[in-house]
Amino acid sequence: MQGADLDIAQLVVRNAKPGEEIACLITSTSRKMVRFSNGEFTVSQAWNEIETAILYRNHGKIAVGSTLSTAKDAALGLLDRLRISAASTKPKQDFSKLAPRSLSQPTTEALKERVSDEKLADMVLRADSAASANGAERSAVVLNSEDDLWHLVTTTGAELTATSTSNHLVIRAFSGQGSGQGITASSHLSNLNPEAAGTRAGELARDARSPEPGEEGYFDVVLDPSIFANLVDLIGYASSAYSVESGFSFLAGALGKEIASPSLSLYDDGLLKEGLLVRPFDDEGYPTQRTPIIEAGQLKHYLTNSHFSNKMGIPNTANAGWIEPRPWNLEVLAGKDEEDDLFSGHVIYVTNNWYTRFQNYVTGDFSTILRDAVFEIKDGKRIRALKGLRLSDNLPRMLSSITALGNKQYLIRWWEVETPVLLPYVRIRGVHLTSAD
Amino acid sequence: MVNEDLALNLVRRAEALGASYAEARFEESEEEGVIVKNREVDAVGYSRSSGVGIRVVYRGALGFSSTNDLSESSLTKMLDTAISMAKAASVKIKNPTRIAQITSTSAKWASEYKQNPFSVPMEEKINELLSLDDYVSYPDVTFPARMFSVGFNEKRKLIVNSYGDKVESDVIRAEGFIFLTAYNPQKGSIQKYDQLGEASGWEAVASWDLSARTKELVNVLSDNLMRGTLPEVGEKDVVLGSEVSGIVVHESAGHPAEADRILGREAAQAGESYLKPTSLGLKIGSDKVNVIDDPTLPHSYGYYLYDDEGVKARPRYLIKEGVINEFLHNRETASLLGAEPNGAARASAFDREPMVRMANTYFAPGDHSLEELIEGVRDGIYIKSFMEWNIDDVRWNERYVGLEAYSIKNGKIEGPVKAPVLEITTGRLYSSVDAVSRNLAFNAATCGKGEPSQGVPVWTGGAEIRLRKVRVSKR
Repeated sequence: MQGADLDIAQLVVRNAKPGEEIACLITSTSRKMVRFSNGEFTVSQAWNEIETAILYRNHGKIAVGSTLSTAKDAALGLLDRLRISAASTKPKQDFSKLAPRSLSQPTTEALKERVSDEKLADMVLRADSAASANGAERSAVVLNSEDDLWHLVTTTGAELTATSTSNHLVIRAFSGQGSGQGITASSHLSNLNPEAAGTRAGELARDARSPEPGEEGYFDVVLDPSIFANLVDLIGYASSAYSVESGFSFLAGALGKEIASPSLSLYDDGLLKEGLLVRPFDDEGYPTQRTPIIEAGQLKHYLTNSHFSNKMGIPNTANAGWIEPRPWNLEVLAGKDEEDDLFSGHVIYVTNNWYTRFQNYVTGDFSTILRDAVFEIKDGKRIRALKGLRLSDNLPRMLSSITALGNKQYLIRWWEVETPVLLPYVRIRGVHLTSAD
Repeated sequence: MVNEDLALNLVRRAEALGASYAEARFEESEEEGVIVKNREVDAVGYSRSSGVGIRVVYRGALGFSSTNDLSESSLTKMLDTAISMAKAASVKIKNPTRIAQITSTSAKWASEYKQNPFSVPMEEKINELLSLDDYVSYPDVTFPARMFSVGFNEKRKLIVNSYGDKVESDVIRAEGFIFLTAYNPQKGSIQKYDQLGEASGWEAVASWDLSARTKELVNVLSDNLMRGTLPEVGEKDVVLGSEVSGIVVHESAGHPAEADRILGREAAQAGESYLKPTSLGLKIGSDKVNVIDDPTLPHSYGYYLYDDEGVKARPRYLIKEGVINEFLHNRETASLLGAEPNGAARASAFDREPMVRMANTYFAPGDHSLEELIEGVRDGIYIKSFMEWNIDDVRWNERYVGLEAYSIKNGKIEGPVKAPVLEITTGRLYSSVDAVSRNLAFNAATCGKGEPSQGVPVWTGGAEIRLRKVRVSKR
């Protein structure tokens, strides 16, 4: 099948006419998911799909498209359709340039693991058992396992292939009115630790089983990697040059400026060692790299493709997206603080969140629901569990108010964190928490 | 579209492999769209997809698998995988999955449209969007980011199952958005994302009157930016416009009524519900509160006549006179809770399992005019539209931050108010409704749920409503 996919990409590119630039990206995905709740499996799912995506450029007229058909005729039909669409559009100032053939391609390790369906089910049951053994009355679990294969062929001579994997198990445990989440993620399925995820979820749920209504106010908070990853994922999106240009970013006009505490350094890394679905090349064929987005609190780079690089006069960070640059894997460097030290004094510890929405992407005004266990902590001791709180603040203000980062990193990917993020615990001063009437 | 024999053959083969129930859903889709940003075409996009998803029940466990490769070897692998995964899961099943059987259905339906949008030249679509920039101007205000988009999709489906049901459908939808950022050096910035969508053809774009809509949005944003004042904080009467009442009922009446949430099946992702299986008959609000979810509204964005399990669609009366009246069900949850399936199973594509979803959820109209709602307020706020919103995962603690909003003094609308915050529980909100307008308006939205994610088109909307003595705060 791999050879057949590559043949289609080559065929599409061979059909380019003079003056046309074409890139054809074929993604072959094999994925399984097992879901479980309240003591039983609820659904087991599997996908095998091949997508053919085409970028068509002709003197500033651009069209992009995709087809899920595997037939050669469908791919060529898509190319013809894109020609028609592009012909009727107005040319834009197109600064993009596909990678030349000569660029070297880093290789990725083939990680595909053959695991039986029984083994996948067993991992879910182990997580559930660990949660039960540590105080959970019930739990819900989802296990994802995905292998991707990419072929990229371009009219500039690039012909690239890569494979990658992603596995993550998420468990949410419940006890009384409390709940807690545990995550384990790795490119290697065998490296997942369902027991650890289940234990953590169970313990959090148990310790939060009798929460009291939280009060509104401004507090020093410690964010667990789960909620911090959601915010970092949003920063990654905001760092895309497309978001900056479109009004979806608080980072416009901030290149080179101090935008965060000096303790914060954030990188995008296409080949992050611990990363998921790592990519050695972007959709234009450029080798991916490790890009500092924020270094010691200073905004260093927007994530770009060749179009935004040339248009804005800034480096190409190899994050194409033909239209919209996007992060691959994000990493926040660990800090110097022992994790226990983050919880000194009076602090609210937030373990998870969901449903983050912005009032204004340019200013960074947003709110998010605090989900699962929230604890009030004094001098490292949990005083009580809290409920009914929402974090209602401003993202740049929070970044500037980081006071400490833990010295360990955790890999996070789940329903609310689309881009995999490797990051530590963080402590932030004066965070606004609100509650309902 | 794939022939019926192939679909039926898949179901029979699944049964031969031991499945007690099987359902095959073939789908072909075509999509086209264009985004214009800052008077330049970002790109035009076009995609096609086709494939099949199959659901099986094997030894009481549910399996789903899909592929876009319709070769014999691929279909065989898909079937074997669905059975194999369900078999592995069958070791831990407390309540064997039952898929409710109802009166056998054979139906063919399609949405209606006047002009097929795919026959309209892309140039015409682009020109429509490029012209909108002419309406983006206001004294002392700049608009550094201006995005306009229209898109169209057509989905053709064939669903067959072990019960002999067969449903074919063909739906065309038009959709679009306007996203504007207004800026003044002294006042700062303000933004609005305005989504459009309905089950219609190219004629929908004309009916949206994008130029008038853009002009109105420019004026609203600029007026609020330049003249708006911070809200007075405290207990006030609040009138919510249909855009806000629509998101309120979507989030806090529709989602919590989804029976799969109530049963805990979405606990690791979209969450659960403040409603329990025993909550039918629970008083949740004032007698003025009536909430309906209706897939059959002609030309609605969430329009369908049969759901993705082949069940005939009908209006669902979720809340009647303040009382929880009905849940949203697919065949599986209906079996578990002893109810009739009510046509709420939707899948966003062939490679997604059908799950319990809303269609078009709205706050049913009452007997007031908007003017009467306003006249009855001595000190309050009219929140006509919103930008930021969220709700906790049992749908009880919710927040809406106004975008277009005005103060009300002694029964009259006064100046614009910046970002008033309504942060309130579901029970308090519905209990505080004392009057409802007779108006009915809808807004398009994409409802998210499921893992993997399934965004489905919906309308939210309804009447304007008045809340008595609720807390208003500021950002």
